[in-house]
Amino acid sequence: MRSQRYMYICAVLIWLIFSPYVSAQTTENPDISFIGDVRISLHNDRSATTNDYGKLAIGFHEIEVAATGYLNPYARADIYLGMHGVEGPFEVEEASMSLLRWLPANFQLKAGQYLVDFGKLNTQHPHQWSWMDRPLMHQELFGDDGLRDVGLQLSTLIPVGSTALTLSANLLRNGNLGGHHHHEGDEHGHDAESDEHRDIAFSGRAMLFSPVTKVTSIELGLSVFRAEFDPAENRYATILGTDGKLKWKPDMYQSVSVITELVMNQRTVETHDGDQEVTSYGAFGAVDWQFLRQYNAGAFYDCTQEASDSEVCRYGYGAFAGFSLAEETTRFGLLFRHDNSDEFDAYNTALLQVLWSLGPHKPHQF
Amino acid sequence: MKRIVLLILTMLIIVPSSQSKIKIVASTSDIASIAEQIGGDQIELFYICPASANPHSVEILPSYMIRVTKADIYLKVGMMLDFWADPIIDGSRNRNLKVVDCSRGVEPLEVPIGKVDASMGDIHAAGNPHYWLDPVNGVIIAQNIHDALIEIDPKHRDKYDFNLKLFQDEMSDLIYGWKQMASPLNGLKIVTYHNSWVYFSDIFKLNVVGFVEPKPGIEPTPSHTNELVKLIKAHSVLVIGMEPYFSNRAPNAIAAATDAVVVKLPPSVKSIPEVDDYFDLFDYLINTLIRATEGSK
Repeated sequence: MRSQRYMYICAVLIWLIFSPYVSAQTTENPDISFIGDVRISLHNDRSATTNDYGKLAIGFHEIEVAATGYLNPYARADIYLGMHGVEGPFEVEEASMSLLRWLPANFQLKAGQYLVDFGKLNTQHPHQWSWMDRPLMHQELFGDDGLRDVGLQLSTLIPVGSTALTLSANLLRNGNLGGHHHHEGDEHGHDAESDEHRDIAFSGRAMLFSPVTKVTSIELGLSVFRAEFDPAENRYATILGTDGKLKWKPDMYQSVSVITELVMNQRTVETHDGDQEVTSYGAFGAVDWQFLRQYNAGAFYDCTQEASDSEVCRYGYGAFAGFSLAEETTRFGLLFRHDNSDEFDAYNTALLQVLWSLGPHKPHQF
Repeated sequence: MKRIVLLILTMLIIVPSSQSKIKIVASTSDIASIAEQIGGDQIELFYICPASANPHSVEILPSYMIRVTKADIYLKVGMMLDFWADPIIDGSRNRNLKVVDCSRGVEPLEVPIGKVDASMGDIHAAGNPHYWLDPVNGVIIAQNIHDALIEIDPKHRDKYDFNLKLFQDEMSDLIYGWKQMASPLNGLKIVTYHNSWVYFSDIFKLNVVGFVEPKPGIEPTPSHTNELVKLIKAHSVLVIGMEPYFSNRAPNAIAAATDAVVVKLPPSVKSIPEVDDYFDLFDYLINTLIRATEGSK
C-alpha cells in the first residue's frame, strides 16, 4: 500500500517536472498538399509495352502528397509521397530532415531520401516542367525518377560580391546507379534489396548564381557523381555534369528562361572483346517563354547515349504550351514530342496534361 | 614612418566603425524606409521585393539569401504577405539573425471569419496585409523596428530612442495634415484593382465599392468586368485606382465604358520616382486622388 502511494507521488512528480516540456511541444500540423497530374495521350510508338498504339489513352500519371513543416526553430522536414496511376502503391519520393540555421559557417545538413543536386533539373519534380518528363540522360543514368537516394548532404553558401556560390557534398547509399527502374517492377536497377552490396556513392556540386541586371539572372553549375555500379567486378562509374540557366523576368506578366544541362558518363564495361572504357554523353536544353501572366510556351531538345554503349543514341525534341487558370492551382499543358533512337522506330507523342494542386505546395509555375 | 603608423591606426579605427553598422534586410521598401528613419546612420539597409513589383509573389533567389547571410535583422511585413521571406531566411543559413514581424501590434482589418479556402481567392487568414498604407500603422512598424534595434545594438539605444520620438512626432503632425488634405476625398467612391487599399480607405474615409480582380489574386474575367461596369455606372464611381505593376488592359477597358478615370496608385515607397520615402507616399497618393477627382471626365 505504501509502495503504491510512493508510485503515485513519483508519477505526480514526474508529471509536474515534465509537463511544461510536453505542453511546449508543437501542436501545429505540417503543411499538407496534394498534386494531381492527369494526362491524355496519343502516340504511334509500336514498341510501347502498353496496348494503346494510335488510341487515345487517359491516365492518372501521378498523385503526389507533400507534408512539410518545421521541426523546431532550426530544422524542417519534407516528405513527398508519390503514386503512379490510381492503384498504387505510394512510394517515398523524398523524406528528409534539414538543419537550416544551426550549423556554423553557413552550413546546412540534410539527411534522408532526397533528389540529389546533380545538375539543376534533378532536384525538381516533373510537375514543375512544361516538358513534363525527366530528361532522357537522367532516365538512362539514374532511372525514371532521377538521382534519388538515401544519404547525407552538407552544403554551404558563400557570398562572392553579389554572386552566391553554393557548394554541396553528398554521401549516398548508392541505390540508383544502373539505369532504368520501372514502377511496375524493379527488374533493372534501383536494387535496394539486392544481395550485392555496393559501395556508398559520392556526389558534389558547385553552383554560382549571379544577378546580371535587375531583371536578368544567370546560374551556372558543375556536378560530379561517382559510384560503384558492378560490385562483383568492383567497377565504378564517374558522371560529370554542367548546367546553366538564364532567366529574364521584367515583370509579373512575362519571363524567358533558357535551361541547359550536359552530362558525361565514364565507366568500364565488359564486352565480348574484354573490358572496354565507355564514355557517353547526354544533353538537354529548353526555352520557356511566359508571355502573359497565365500563358507560356516553349521548345526543348533532349538526347542521350546509352550508359554502357555510346554507339546507341536516343533523342527527342518537341514543343509545349501551358495555361494556368488561377494562380498555380489549376494548370493545363499541351506537349508534342518526337522521339527517335538507333534501336527503335521514330514515334510521336501528343499529350494534354491537367495539373492541380490542393494545399500550400504549388507546381511552381511562376 | 610615423605617418604610415598613423595612417594604419586611422584605418583601423575607421574600418571597424563602418563594419559595426547594423545590417538590416527588409521584405519591402516601405518597411525599409521606416527602418531608415529609426536606424539613421547606424544601419545598412537592403530590401528584397523590388519596389515596382507585386509583393505577393517574389522569386526566391540565392542573391537575396547572401544578403540575409550577412544581416543582423530581417524585417518581415507579416500577415502572410511575404511568405516568400521564410525560404530566403532559411536559405541564408544565418543562425544569428533576428527576425522581426513588423505587423506585431497592428490591428488587422478584414480578418476572415469561418473557413478560409482557395475558392475565395488569395485570402490571408491573418487579415488584409496591406497595413502600412495606414500611416498610424507606420508608427507601430517604427516601434517594432526600434525594439529590435535596441536589442541587437543596445549601446546606441539613445539614438534609436531619439529617432523613434522624432518619427512619432513628425508622423503625428503629418497624419493630421494628411487627414485635412484628404478631406475632399471623404466618401469618394472608388474601384481598385486589388484589395490593397482597405487601410488607406479606412483612415482617409474613401469608399471602395469594387475591385477589378473578381477575387483577390485572380485575373480579371470578361463577365466580372461587365458586372463592374454596371456597378461603376450605378454608383457614379469617378476613379479606378491600380497598382503600377498590374496590366492596365482591364482598367482601361472599364474606364472606356464608363465615366471613371484610371489612376496609378503606388502602394510602395520608390515604386515610382516621385515617392522616395514613407512620407512622400501619402503626399503623392492623396494629391493624385484629388487631381483625379478634379479632372475626371
